Parts: sequence; structure tokens; C-alpha cells
Amino acid sequence: MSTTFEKVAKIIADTSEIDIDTITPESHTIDDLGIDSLDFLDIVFAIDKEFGIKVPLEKWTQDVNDGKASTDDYFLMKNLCAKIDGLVAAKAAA
Amino acid sequence: MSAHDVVITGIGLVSSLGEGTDAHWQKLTAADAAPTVDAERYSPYSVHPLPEIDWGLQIAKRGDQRQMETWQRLGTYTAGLALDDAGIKSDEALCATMDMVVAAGGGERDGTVDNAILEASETRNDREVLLNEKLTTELRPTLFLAQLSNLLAGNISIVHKVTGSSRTFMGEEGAGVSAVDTAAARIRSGQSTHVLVGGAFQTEHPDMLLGYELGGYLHRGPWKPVWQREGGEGGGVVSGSGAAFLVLESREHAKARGRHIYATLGPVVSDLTRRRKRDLGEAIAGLLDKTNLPANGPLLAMSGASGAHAATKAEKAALERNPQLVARAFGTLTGHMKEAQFPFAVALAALAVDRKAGYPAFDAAHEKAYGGVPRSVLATAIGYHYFEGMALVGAPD
Amino acid sequence: MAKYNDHLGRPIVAVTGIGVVTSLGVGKADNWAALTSGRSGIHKITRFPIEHLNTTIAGTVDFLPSSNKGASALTFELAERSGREAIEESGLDVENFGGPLFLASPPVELDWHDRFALYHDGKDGSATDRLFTVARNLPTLDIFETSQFGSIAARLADEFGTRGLPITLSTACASGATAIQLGVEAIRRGECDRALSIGADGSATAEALIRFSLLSALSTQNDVPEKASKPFSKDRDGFVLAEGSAALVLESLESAVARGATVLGILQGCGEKADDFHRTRSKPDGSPAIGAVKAALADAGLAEDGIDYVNAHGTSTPENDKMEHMSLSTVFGERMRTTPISSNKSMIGHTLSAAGAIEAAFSLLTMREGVIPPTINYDNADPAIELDVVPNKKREAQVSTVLSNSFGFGGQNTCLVMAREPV
Repeated sequence: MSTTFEKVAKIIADTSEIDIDTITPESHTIDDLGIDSLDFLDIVFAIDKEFGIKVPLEKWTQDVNDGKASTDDYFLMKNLCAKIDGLVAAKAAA
Repeated sequence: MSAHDVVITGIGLVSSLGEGTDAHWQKLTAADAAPTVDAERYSPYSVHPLPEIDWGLQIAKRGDQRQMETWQRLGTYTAGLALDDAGIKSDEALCATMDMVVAAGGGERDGTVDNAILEASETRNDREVLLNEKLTTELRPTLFLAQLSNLLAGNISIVHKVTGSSRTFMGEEGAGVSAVDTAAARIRSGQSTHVLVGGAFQTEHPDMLLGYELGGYLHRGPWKPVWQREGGEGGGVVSGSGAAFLVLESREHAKARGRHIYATLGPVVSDLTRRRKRDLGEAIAGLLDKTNLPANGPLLAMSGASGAHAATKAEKAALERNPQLVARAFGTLTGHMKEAQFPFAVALAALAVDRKAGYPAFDAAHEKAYGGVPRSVLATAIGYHYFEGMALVGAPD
Repeated sequence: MAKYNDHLGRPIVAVTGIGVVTSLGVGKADNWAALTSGRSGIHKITRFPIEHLNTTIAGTVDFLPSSNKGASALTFELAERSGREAIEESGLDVENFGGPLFLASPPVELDWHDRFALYHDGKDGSATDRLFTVARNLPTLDIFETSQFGSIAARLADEFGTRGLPITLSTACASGATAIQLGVEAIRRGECDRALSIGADGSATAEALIRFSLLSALSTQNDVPEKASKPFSKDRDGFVLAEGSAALVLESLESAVARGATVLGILQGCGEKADDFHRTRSKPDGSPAIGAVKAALADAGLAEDGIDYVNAHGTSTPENDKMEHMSLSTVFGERMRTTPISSNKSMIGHTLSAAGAIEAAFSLLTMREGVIPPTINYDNADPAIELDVVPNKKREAQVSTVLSNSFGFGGQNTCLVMAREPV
């Protein structure tokens, strides 16, 4: 059974030209992996479908723009996966 | 002959007959030419389907392919074929200064999502809320870009680096006519030196067929050649997936590059006939008069006739009234390709002029034989519902 | 003795009729009064339910008979209204215009209302089967026409007696400007003495809103709708979807003078350049936009010091406004700090296929009236964008030349240069 990380890495690799072997928990999805902004939207869509959640991407982007969070907090792979797990848990609890 | 004559130096063609000018010439000049038709997938309607295409041959990046659905891939691919054919594809400077006019419809909707919404509406009164709910969560975000009419041109710019002026015309066959007309006019006036012009139509999607059938235009029942659709069940049109792109240049520009010229393109004559008020046959005759047909000899006419009963009947009568004309309704072999129809007609005309031979009758019962060397060939597109256009394609010397 | 040909020997193209409809109202007078008083047409959406939507505001035109009849009907009515106003102003025959029609319009699609109706009229089989069975037995062509790309132009051609095959075009957000450019080119090529160029967009359906929303293109500052569109501001977050139309009657100056028409302005130059960088974003170095601006200036025979005012594309997206500032600063240099530049979109939102035409109409009025409309909602300047955006209040000014920018999704960029008087 694959972990959150494995699933997300696969989604990223399938959606963009990025080689799955280059994706590590420390990879920054935007800065390191250089995912195109449009591909990113499709990746989030695929994540939503895969995990049955709704990633609040606009809120995250707003938080970063407002200085309330760093891009690492949301877009570093390990943090992104943790946030996804959090959203899945919240949904299950609701 | 003048420096600003419009000449055709590149042709890209894709249809159910295959890809490229050679494949089309082989198939269309074969004695036993027969169409490829799929009567099952969209029964009771038939379509001329696309063959398997290796998109990577013209759209190298997988990411670029993924951002498009079949319609945009088809157009981008075929544009690439034309650019290759004209020797422009690898020339950065020429691409950067190349103008473009594309005839486009729209892209494919997500049928799975649409049908799920329709089915869900059986048990919900709040249809508009249902719509919001489903469309905000079920649609891939970038699908919109694959549907947007002007993004075919956008993709051609991104993939093939064609970045002069870029125009997209919409409007069924009329868009194809106007696109060729405008491109040629720009060259003739000296505004452009080289233009990429064409269109693509992908019929293999229920919504594309619905676009015809909402007007009752589709033929049902066993397949028949275009001139034999009248009296058949339904409206007469059998559609096909296909695309045609042309590279047009000024004669001077083509000669300076030392490039092979297929043919010259004469002025395009076109109109929007009010078919309820004016006899279409008369209107077509009027357009033929304006086209400056050569005085002598049989003249091959590559007709984009759609098979739609009224329009095709009127065109047939108008063409027959002029004994000089030898019609070839290529839709018999390719299906009706909407926005691509007129560019396709021009391309086939140019091939005949270039190869110094005509096409055998596609429908021996209704098309006369033609044995000569065509110095001029007529290209026509009479819209299944509205819009008419034609042009004469001639030998370059 | 007036000169009738421009610096390149082409017929000078005059404007002899202008028509406008936006969320601010129908007709030039109402629109101009609202625009110059800094009024916004943006409001909370009432046309359809807003549940589940991230963006609940728009600049829809809700006060016309066709406002709730679907995109096709509304787009037609918008085009017809502004077309009629323009032709009537020009003094030409509104039933026999006698020149070609160039229409910028949104791509058409079967309206969901109709899709549901077709489905529910059907009996058995899959959704697809039901749609086809009902479709082929429809008693009229009304629904069919909404699915044909050329039908709005065909109806307008009929109504106004325009000549020949009408052209319906799309270059995304640049469409309205392209329609004008096509008219100018046809006149310059000597194909006609006059042309009718219309940009219209009535396609703000729920699906259209959602499509742009999914691409993160729209503002989500729903709380105060009138303040959401804030071009060049620090906290701008996307554009506001809107509807409207504008029409210009274009004529060769010679033909306008010969029949004693009032010349409202001159279409002095058009420039364009396609972008190959990305499907929605512009090349970071701004070269296509720079190219389009320079091409327009060259076409108009003007040097960089020849522009008095810029009517910005100014969509209020973080990216566009930054790129537009950078491109204009590159072309105009230091001068750009003091050349007034304002965005009509701050008040009317982004009218998509109509934008380039509406903004051209407002540019012409700017010159005629000697008043520059403001960029409203300019409360928090973006420190990286040093421009005189004519903040919040109109400004009286003698403007003889205007550069109007339209930069479209899919990389199609078009710029128009307009003048008050022929050179």
C-alpha cells in the first residue's frame, strides 16, 4: 500500500515531465521541481480526487503572499504530504 | 504574374485517409478509392475517423500534448506538417515573422462529467446548484484551455514558434473561407510575406455531432457518396475528422528562398446568401461568374459539398449548369470537415495542379471523367447551413 | 487641402460612429457619465446561484431583455445595441450598411439550460442517446443556432445589411481590438470604404466563471464587489469577469469627408505580436508585448514621444499589470512615469471578447471629451509599479493620441493607436 508521498510523487511525475526518481521528501515542488503553474493546478486537482479532499490552494497562496507562511510550509514535499494527511483526517472526523 | 501573387509552398493534410500529401494523393487517385467509415461508434451516424497518429512526431513535448485534447493536437500536428513541407519549420527567423490565420471551432467537452450531471439532475430540483457543485470539482482545471477556440493558434505558436500576427476565425466552413481569403489578401497587399493558414475539425465526440444534429443535418442509414445523400434518412451530412494547413507566400518571397511552388491562389470569392430569400443555386452561379474561370477546357472543381440535402442539391445543379466543370466531391472520401473544408479543397486543388493530373471520379455515377493536365482547378465550399466560398488555384508559371 | 493617405500611402481610417454597452449602462452617454465619475459596474452575481463558487462577483449586464436567455442571445443583443448606436451616429443606413462586418465574440456552446431540457425531453437510453433523439426532432432551429459559431454574425449581417461573408473572430482578450484591426486593414487594402467592427461578450455563465476560477485567474475579493478590480494596486488578486459590447463604424477619411460625416477620431495604427511562451502567462521579458506596442507605434508613424495617454489592458491580475508596466517602461523609458495610464477594467471589469473594442471606444471618447477616466480602487499602490494611473478621480486633459493595449490568453497581443485628428 503506497504512502501519501508515493501517491503524490506519482501524480506529479504523471502530470509533468519530471522524473519520479528526482522527487524526494525534501524537494520543493515549485523551486526544485520547477512545476509549471498550469500543471500545478492539474496536480492539485488530481490530489483532490485521489485523496477525496479539497486542497485550499488559493488560501495557501494568499497566506504566503501575506507573509503568514513561507512557501516551504505548503510546497515542500514532506510538508505538502503532511497537510494532505491533515485534510484527509479532518474529512474523516467531520 | 507579379511579385505579390499568392503562391502555395507548403501543404499539411490529415484525415481518415491518412497523413501527408503523398498518402492523400495515393488514396484519392487510386482506381478503387474507398472511404474509411465507422458506422458503429456513433450509430445511427457514420463518421470518417482519424487514423492512429504519433503526435510526438510534431508535438515533441509530452507536456504540450497533455495540455491539448484531440482537436488542438490535430491542428497543431497538421500545421507542423505544412511548415515542414514548406521548409520553414526549422527556420527560427521565418517562424518568428510568420503570420497565421486559423479557422477554429471549439474543443471537446468532458462527456463523463456532463453525463453525470445530466443523470444526477433526475433526482435534483436545484439544477443550477448541482451544476456549480459538479463543475467546480470534476473538471480538470486546464481542460478549458484545450477547449478555447483561439488556443489552437496559441498552441501552434508555442509548439512551432510561429509568432507573427495570430488570428482565429470562427464560423464553420465560412471561417475556413475567410481565413484563406484574409491570408491571401494580406500577401497580395504586401502586408505579409508568408502566412500559415488552415483549420482542423475533430468530429469523434458526441457534442460535435450534436452540433449538426440540432439542425437535423446528419445522414443516417447506410453510407452513400455525397451526391447521393438526397432522399436518404436524416439530413445528408457524414462528417469526418481532418485538418488542412497551407503555407502561403508572395511569389517574390518564395522565389527568393528558392522554394518549390505548388500553385498560385487566385482571389477568394465568398458570400453569405440569405437562403430563405434567394435561390442558392443562383447565388452559387453568381459566385462562379465572379471567379474568373478560364475560357476553355474542362475545369476540375474540388467541391467541399457537405451532403446536406438542400445545399448539396443547389451546388450540384449550379456546377452541372456549367458544362465546363468536372466536379469532385472529396467529402465522399474524407467526410465533412467543417472549418477545415475549404483549406482542404484548396490543398487538393493545388496537389492536382502540381502533379499535373486530376483525380478519378469519386462517384462514377455522378462525376464525369477527367483526363487532362489541370492548369487551373476550382476549390469550393458551400456551407451545409450557410456561407459560401470558392477560389481558383492555378499553375505557377 | 486635407491629406487622405497616411505616412505609408494607405487610406487614413476615421471613426464615424461609436456604440457601447457595459454593466454601467446602455449607450455612450450613460457609460461616459459613470466612467468619469469613477462608478463601478461590478456587483454580486444574481444571474445564477453562487453556492460552491469561489468568486461570486461579476460585471454582468443584467438589465437587457436577453440577460437571462443564455450567452448566445445576450451576446447578439449586446452586439446589436452597440452596432445600432454606432451606425445611427454615423448617419449611414442602419439596414444597409454596405460594408463588411468583423465581429469579436466568445466561442459558443450549447447552454446548460438547453442541455437539461433536451435530456429531460428524452425518454430512454443513455444521456447521449436522449440528446440525439430529441435534437433531431426539434421543431425549430433556435437551439441549433446557439451551437453554430457563425450565427450571431449572420444575424447581425442580416439586420444591418453588411456586405459579404461576415467574419467572427477570437483572439481571447485581444478580440475586440482585432475586430477593429481587421476593419482598418480591409479599408487600407482598398477592399471597402467602410467597415463595421464590433466586440461583444455576454457569456458570463456559471460554467464560464468556474472555468476561469479553476485557473486561479479571478479575484476572490467578494466582500466589496465594487472594490475587487484594482489594477496596479498592491493587493490585486485577479480579474473580474464582465460583459459588454462596443461597435465602431470605420471609414476611409476621404469617404467620411466626402459625405460630410463627423469624424470622431482616427485609427492611426495597429500592432500585434504572438507569444510562444505559455498558454496563459506572458514571456517574462515582455518581448511580445513590447513588440506589439512598437509595431503599433511604427504602424501609426509615431515615435515614443507621440503618445499622450495609455488605455491599459490593466486586468488587475498580479502578472499582467506587472508585465504591462515593465513592457511600457521598456518602450517609453522615463516618460512612462509621467504619461497618464488608466484601466477601464477597474470599473467595468474584464469584458473578454469585447474588451479591446470597449476600451477603444472609451479611448476615442477620452480624446473627444478631453477627460481621462480614472483607475479606481487605487488605495494601496504597488511600490514596484511606478505609474501615473490617474488614481480614483477623472482628470481633464487635452489628449491627442492614445495607445490602447490588449494582451490575450494564448499569447495574442494587439495594440491600437488612436488620434483625435488626422496627421
